[in-house]
Amino acid sequence: MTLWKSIPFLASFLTLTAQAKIDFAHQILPLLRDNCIECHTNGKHKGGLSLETRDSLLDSETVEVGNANESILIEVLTAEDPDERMPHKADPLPAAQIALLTQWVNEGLAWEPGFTFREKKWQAPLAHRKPDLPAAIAPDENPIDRLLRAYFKENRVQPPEPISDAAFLRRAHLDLIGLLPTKDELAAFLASESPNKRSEKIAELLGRKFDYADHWMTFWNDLLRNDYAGTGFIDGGRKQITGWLYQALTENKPYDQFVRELMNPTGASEGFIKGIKWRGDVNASQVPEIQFAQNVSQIFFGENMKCASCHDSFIDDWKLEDAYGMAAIFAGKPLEMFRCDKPTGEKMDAKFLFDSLGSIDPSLPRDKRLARAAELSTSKGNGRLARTIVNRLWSRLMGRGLVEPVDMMGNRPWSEDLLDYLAWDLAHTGYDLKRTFTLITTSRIYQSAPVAPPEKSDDFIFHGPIAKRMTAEQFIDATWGITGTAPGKIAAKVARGSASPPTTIPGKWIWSAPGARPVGEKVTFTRTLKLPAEATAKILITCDNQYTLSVNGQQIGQDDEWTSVESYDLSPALRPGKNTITIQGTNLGNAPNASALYAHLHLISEGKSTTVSTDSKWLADGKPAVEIPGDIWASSVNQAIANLLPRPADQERSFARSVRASLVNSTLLMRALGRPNREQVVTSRPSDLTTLQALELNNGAEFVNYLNRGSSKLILQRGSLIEDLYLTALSRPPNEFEISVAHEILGAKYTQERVADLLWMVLMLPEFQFIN
Amino acid sequence: MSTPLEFENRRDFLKKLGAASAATLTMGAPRLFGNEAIDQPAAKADCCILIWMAGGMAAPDTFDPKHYEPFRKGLPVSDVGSTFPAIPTSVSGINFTEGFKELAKVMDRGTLIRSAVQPDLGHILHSRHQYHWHTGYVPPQTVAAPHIGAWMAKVLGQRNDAMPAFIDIGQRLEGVGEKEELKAFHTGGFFGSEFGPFLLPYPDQAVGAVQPPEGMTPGRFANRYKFYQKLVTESKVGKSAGAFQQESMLRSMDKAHRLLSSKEASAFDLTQEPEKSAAPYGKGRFGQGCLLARRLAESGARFIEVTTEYQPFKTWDTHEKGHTTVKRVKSEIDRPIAQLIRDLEERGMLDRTLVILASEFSRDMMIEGVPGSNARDQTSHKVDIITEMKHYGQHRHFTGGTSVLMFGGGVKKGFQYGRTANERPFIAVENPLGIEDLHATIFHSMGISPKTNFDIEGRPFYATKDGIGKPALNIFA
Repeated sequence: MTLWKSIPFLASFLTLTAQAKIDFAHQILPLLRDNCIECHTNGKHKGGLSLETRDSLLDSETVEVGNANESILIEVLTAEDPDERMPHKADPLPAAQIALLTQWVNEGLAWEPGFTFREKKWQAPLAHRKPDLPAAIAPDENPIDRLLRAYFKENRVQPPEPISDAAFLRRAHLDLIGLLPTKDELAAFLASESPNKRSEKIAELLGRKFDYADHWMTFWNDLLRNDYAGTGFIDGGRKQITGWLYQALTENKPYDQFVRELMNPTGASEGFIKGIKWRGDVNASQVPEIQFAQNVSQIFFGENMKCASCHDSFIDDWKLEDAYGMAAIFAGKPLEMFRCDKPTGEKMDAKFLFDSLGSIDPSLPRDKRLARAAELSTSKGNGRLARTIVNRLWSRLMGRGLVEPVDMMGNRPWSEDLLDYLAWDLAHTGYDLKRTFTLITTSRIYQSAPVAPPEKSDDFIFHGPIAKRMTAEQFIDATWGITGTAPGKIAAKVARGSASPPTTIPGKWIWSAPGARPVGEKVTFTRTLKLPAEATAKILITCDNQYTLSVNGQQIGQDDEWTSVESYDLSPALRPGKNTITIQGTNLGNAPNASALYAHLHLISEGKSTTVSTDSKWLADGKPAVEIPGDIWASSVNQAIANLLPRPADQERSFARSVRASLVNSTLLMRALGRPNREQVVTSRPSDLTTLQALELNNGAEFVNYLNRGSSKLILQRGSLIEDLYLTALSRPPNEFEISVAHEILGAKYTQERVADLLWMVLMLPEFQFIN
Repeated sequence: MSTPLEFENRRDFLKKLGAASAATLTMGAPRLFGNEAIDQPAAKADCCILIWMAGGMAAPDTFDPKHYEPFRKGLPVSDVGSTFPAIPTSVSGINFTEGFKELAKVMDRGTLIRSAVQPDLGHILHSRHQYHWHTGYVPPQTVAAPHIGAWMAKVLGQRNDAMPAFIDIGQRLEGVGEKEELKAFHTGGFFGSEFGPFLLPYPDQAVGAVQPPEGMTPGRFANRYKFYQKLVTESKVGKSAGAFQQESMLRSMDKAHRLLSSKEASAFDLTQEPEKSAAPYGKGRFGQGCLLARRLAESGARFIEVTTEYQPFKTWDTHEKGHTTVKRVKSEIDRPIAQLIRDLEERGMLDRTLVILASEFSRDMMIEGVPGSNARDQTSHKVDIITEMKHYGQHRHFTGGTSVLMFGGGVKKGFQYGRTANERPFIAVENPLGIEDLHATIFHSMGISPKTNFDIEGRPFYATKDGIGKPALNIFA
């Protein structure tokens, strides 16, 4: 609330009234604009009064804040002498308006932050501009650093210190693929003597296309309001674009094409412009046409059309016509305009937001209008498209945008040269977003120590990167990684296989007998394994129709959807010696039908890797299982299995693709940590941990479950436990003090409980939860 | 600020923090308006309990009796106003329907609004109308609209540091139909999750939410935190200037830990209620919810919602067997609600606690929506002549006249506000009260102006839609 921000200390001056507080933007601003500013702004400061900003008004000494009776500004409104009365040479203001102004002064002169009546001296340019780069010190100096060297000099800023290799690795991993580096990745990186190892690492991370896509799904789902469950799906008022989006990310689809496919969609990407439709009547400013106008303007161009979809905006120059012009593109016909939910009787036809780029022929049908809008959006003259996205990416990586807020791209960037350079570079090299990521992350400034966040947003001066809090997805992926507790199944329907999956699957589908099986038939399949030592193992499994999987009597998972394949980590349940895998299979349906089970285990013990698949060596109710020759599962399910099998060159990573938090339905824990409902476009996540979130991390069932399961596994590491945990979670070894505290916690004899407590403490460290 | 930040340890950091931005640290903390917004109305209550009758409670079968016809084969539906006979209450001239024996006795402590109305919105849908009722805004919205409880948490803040401001009892958000729609308004909205609901779907398990995790002794829990603080205190936070944000994280951890080890936590534990005072609430989930609400109100919660739980076609959502179902639901809620009022009164809390009983809309035997509306009929099977018991009941969504009960919080005692027509359609014919005005009335009692607004994306967002709500001042004593 504007008033609260500006005058918290004035409360004692205010008179007690039962009235509501003044709303500057809606009540005062139009009044000043219509009656006062002609003579009191933009160089015309008659009587020494400038109404341009709150500060200039205060400087004029015509207002006693909190006391209208002592304010000349109010006094002159009711002066009897027409020469003294304001507005000059006009009728006196109506009493109701004077009352508003009086209340406004009494309440402390609330003002829209940053608002000025001054004609804007700075207008955000639309066209691209290629700034001249200052001379490089070294031949390969990053253009960002070249521009910032000049910026820092001009603003007398001492650039921050560079960060260590370990800190860089953790930051780059989390920023680019959303995952912590493993202990081995850390060791290898630190040991590498390559002079270009940081750039090589960045290229490697960006090349991990599935990990990259998994991570950036979070960002794009937030922006495009895509989710796997949510309002609107219940009665067909919403459609996912999950498959399209994931593929676009794995392919690194050029950004201009990406935008064109969203604005002028195919069946796979149409969910975005369809918006979210609730059954029944909705407010005129929330019909799908207006949702299109608002979302396209905000997401791709950083312009807020939410004000203008109800009335001409008070805070910027957008008009009702602009919002309806965009909406009419989607509508495919002229639209009647509604002002504040009331019909105006006027119609508006298609008009692109930046109409200097070109017009949209009103005789075109809807699909041609959309195609034309997509073309204008990505046309050479539209620098705003690239500026908006590079600013969003800069903000994600550096903790704060070049322009803030990131959805108000009409605001002046703290460095026009830097914004324009990044935008120009993106647009003139094939709209390759990974190129922008490379440009930013290979810069010296990205690889620098974080600085304190700014205390105020006015007159911001850039000092360096700002630490970012992990998103819910990053935190949960990290937790799953450390504790080995990722679930078996993803909700997102995406093609997420290895680069070149095997074409056949090892082993066979099995059951107790071939042919049609009775409905409700239950068969217990078993396989015993002798393990010489402790082992880690994962299993891939699916069953037509239903299975329950246990290891040594401990239930691991179950599912009843035969077309999906699950993977589980069996490690916590395994022990040296004899182990029994038990799978209870059930046939379902309305009539006898074919049944089959498929499972494939990958075990690693004493550094050796072995696999075990279903075949006639398994027992079905105590008798050898029958290998099913049929191919009814081969076409769809076998491919899904093959996709999950390790690549030949990557055997040791087992089933390479662990489930990622971005691909599962939101949970209570994720919501608590800030994963949004995605009813609205979300372009930034909360930066603070709140008390309710902290509660969830103290005793929430979901998180406690991860800790308990993880600790039963970690306890097996014994001697290396403390060091491994620090290396994995914080990418650094523990110091002496930390080792001694950890020993105090763990005591002489490690127990699962003590390990869980240590695990909790490390995961609760700010150092863990922030990307420093 | 251009020199790199370096601190010896956290203690040193905190010392030097004195000069640094306090604003950064308090971001997201509830604002206590006592310091600044003194143009708010004087609060008549400090705590609000919303008793939510989820699923559309039929006024003619509860608090607004109409012409009664008992079930018989061949009964024309159009002859029936109520399926329960009227019973007198402790206030002469105000009748309830049969099944509210206990509530009838406490009518003299509160105000009955019989003229609440809702818009039809094309389709009269539970989750959409519940969203509207709970946030004051019709979905969809361009920004995430906060729940009415989140407004109170944000504007009024916590009443007790160790007690969440906004507590929601009895509604599951997983495992029920329309759960995504329910999640959409059980939220702090743009205020952020700090102001969102503390969810307690099962009252008898509520204590689990404020205790150390299951299986962890208090000793181990305290020990864990002690070691944690040791690690944090000695860690070189100064290595990173993110220390400022991190400090705010540690404060939240501190607050959470305080709640989990505080005496207030026992308020969540229903087994600590003496048998004698627990008995009137019964063992049912809703009754236990009312008891929990009372205990939490005593311990300093700001806003508590306790619900019969929305589940499609359950409790008040009667699309057939209306009479039989409502009879059962009444037997489950009558005594606990009345006891809650009595307990609050006995403890001297009722004056400063606003209790509201409400539902997303009412029901009628005949009419969907209100006459002349374009609302689609939600009932697929309609009968004109009742031949079976399952047809006997209020089965259509009706928005033209809904009952709301209020107690405490400055409302008049034994008072009726507004009324509905005696002949069908039973629409509000006196003092119709829309959602904005009803919310304004509730906010007024709590000391919040309906025009209170927050700046979101450069626009004002109001406690009642566009700030237009007007409190029904007449209901206040």
